Amino acid sequence: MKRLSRLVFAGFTSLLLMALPVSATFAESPTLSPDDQKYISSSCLNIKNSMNQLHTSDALLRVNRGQLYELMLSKLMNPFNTRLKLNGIDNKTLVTAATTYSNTLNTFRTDYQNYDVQMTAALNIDCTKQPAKFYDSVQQARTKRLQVHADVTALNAEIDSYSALVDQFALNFQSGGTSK
Amino acid sequence: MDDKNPLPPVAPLSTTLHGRSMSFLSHHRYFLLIFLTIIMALLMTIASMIIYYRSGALQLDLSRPGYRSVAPKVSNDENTFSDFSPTGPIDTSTIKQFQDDYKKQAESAKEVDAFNGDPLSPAALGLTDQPSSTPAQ
Repeated sequence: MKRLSRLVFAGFTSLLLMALPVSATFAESPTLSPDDQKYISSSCLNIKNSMNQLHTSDALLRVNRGQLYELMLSKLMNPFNTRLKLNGIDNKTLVTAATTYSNTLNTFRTDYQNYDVQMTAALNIDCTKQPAKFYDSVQQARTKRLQVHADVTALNAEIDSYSALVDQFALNFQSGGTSK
Repeated sequence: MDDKNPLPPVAPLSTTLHGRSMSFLSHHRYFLLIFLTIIMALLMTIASMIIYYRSGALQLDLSRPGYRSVAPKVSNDENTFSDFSPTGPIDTSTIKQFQDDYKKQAESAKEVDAFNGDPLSPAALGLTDQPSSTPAQ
């Protein structure tokens, strides 16, 4: 029995020893020099303060902008499309535009969630002890924030697109070219 | 006719396994009730926390510690936002009214280029001492 436990212990120890260099390799950031790592460790508090402020202001931005984007869909696009449908007017292009907008809004929600999770993860890393891991995590959060901005740009473009379609619809309606 | 009972004698209920378990349940029913209630409450709490984290409600909750300073800055646009009725006739004036409302709200929605810039770049955050070590974009 003792021999078996020794064997198990030796097996675990050798596995651990084999895994350690691998994890150490992953912990090293290929883009960060030892000097930069020292610099991050020394200015950790300032960096985290800036990130915390950004995190908080982004949360407020998410709530306020998100609310407006949702209201554009729920209080304007959807009721207008419904009204056209109830009046028996062909509104396929407007429905398609509203659906595309709704999908982009969902993507915005998901991407912001991913960004927030990544930012929280980065802020939870002790940058005095793990500067390389912290740096990599911040860079991942950066990529995700850029994606959120891309979603916002797409939403703005789709708001304009819907507006242009309504203008086109109004012209057709005035000229009597709208099919019922 | 034989008056004797042909069946073997049956042990009293309390001495059987079923009887013992019934006796245990009846003796500890209040303890079990409290225990099961706590387990149920724990399960419900865990389920609600999972939903809270996964649904995205967490990101919208500004009553969390660290966000209370910005909570009063939340704009209440729902009350001031133009509401277009989904019922009623469609005529030129209705469409014009919708166009005006839509353009006004669209301007409001687009007035801020949200999440612009790159405040998480190594240069902006001061992550590196030497600008040359900044990874290429």
